[in-house]
Amino acid sequence: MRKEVILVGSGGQGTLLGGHILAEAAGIFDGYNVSNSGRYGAAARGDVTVSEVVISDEEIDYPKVTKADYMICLSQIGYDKYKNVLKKNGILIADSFYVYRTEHKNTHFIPLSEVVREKTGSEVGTNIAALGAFVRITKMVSKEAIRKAVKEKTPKGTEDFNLTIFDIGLGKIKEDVKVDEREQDLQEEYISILEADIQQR
Amino acid sequence: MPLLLSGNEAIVEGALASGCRMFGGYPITPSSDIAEKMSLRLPKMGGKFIQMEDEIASLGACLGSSLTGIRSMTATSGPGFSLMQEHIGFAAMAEIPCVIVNVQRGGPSTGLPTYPSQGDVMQSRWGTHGDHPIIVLVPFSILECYTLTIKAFNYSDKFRTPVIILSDEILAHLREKIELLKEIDVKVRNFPEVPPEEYLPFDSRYLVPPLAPYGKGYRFHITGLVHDETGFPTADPEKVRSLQERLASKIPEEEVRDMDVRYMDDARICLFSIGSIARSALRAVLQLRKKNKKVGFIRPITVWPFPYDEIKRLSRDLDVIYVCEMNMGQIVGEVERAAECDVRFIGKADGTIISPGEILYRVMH
Repeated sequence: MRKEVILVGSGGQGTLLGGHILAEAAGIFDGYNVSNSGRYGAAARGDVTVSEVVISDEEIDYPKVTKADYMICLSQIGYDKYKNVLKKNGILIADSFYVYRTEHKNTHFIPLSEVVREKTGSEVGTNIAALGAFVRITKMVSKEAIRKAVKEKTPKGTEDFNLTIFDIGLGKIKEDVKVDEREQDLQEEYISILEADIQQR
Repeated sequence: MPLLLSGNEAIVEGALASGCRMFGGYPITPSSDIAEKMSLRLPKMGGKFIQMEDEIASLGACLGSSLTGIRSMTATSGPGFSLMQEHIGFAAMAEIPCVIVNVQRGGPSTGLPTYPSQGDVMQSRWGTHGDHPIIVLVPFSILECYTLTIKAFNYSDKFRTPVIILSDEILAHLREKIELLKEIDVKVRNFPEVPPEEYLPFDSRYLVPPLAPYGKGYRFHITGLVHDETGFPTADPEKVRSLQERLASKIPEEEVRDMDVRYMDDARICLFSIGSIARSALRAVLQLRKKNKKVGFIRPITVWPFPYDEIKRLSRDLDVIYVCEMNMGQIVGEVERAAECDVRFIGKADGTIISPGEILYRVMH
């Protein structure tokens, strides 16, 4: 079993730390083989940042993501840039405030940043809340493992804050909104036109 | 307990475990984590971390401290590696052990600071002027970043030579799970057996003369000029030839040769690659094997000295070798020199990794 996860966001949203915590949890505390790598441009803030996590119970030969099974997405520009990396039937966990248009059927729109802002007064920690939602939806990694990794990898003094936020993500936040059926059809038509166009070229 | 480390962090662990106690450096992406971690760890272990004014001075500081018997290392990336060439030559000529980590990024010049490349393969061999011996090790996993750093220190002390670790941006920022070794095989430098008054720093009776640490009563001259056994400059053709021949033969290829060879028993096609791109090649080999293609895998871990004889031997039963590298064609030339079969090149230098899919596509078509 090899599962590929890609976390996409904008610089400053904690995408890279999120990937690091997920890899630490799966690798060190749940005992899988893991690889984790980040991609970012020269601009630290605002540019699209990507963190890739490969989780496997076999030896990992190629350490990067080729076709992701899961995507955690915190920004629309990130989604637009990396949507082709996620499998067509892959599961997408999207922050409903920053991501408003997706082409994937299995999209879970969750108001992560809004809820975090409501409870804490700032959006810092949305990445950790997203990990909570990821664990709840995919059950790829255990809650305990993520809790241990959060304690280890977040700055000293913020551990409890981050654990609270993780629990917020873990709990059911409102109803997850799926992509509108009608819109979905339109998007599929659009994709098929695009594909035909590419084939013609 | 296993640790989740990045390539840069694993190099730091390897260096500290093998007794490195001095780091002279100048931060540069994507190698900066090495300097950062060293600056945090070394002072607590009685070591010294110095941030110098540039990369030339960084390696200079390492060479100075190495002459006092302290294992020393520096780390940089392409632009800094270019600056270090002068002192790499000095280290080769004066036979000073040191370890230089080059975390490759896109080039030439400032290039692509946060994107990978394997563009320094030939520079690591021939970047500094004049004939000189060098050892270049290329890791392909985080575990190898750790183990090869230990090996690099041992080679540099054993052969009195600079040793280069060619990492790249992919490994630098990739995290994998590794278990640190409990026992490290540390080979210390040979100490001279003679008293100070009889000591010759470049004693031609040895292939690798013992190096006395400064500060222990042994006084000798170090220069970048061609020198005789005492270390003082000479232009006597006889002595120059003797030194050049000793330098050229002091690193025995068969001793430092290290290769990762898999699936070669029945192979007709072979994928040849080094470093992180070998991970893509390995995946491609496994996928081609599933399609009943007889494909083998060759990865030199010690790239310089290049294993010409070994490649020649392995190539005899092959139809074609595909050389995959993240540059416009560097190591492929050496494979062509050695191989007795067709050699084809799969490469690019656009800042993106060569994926297993790209290799598969080229091999299938």
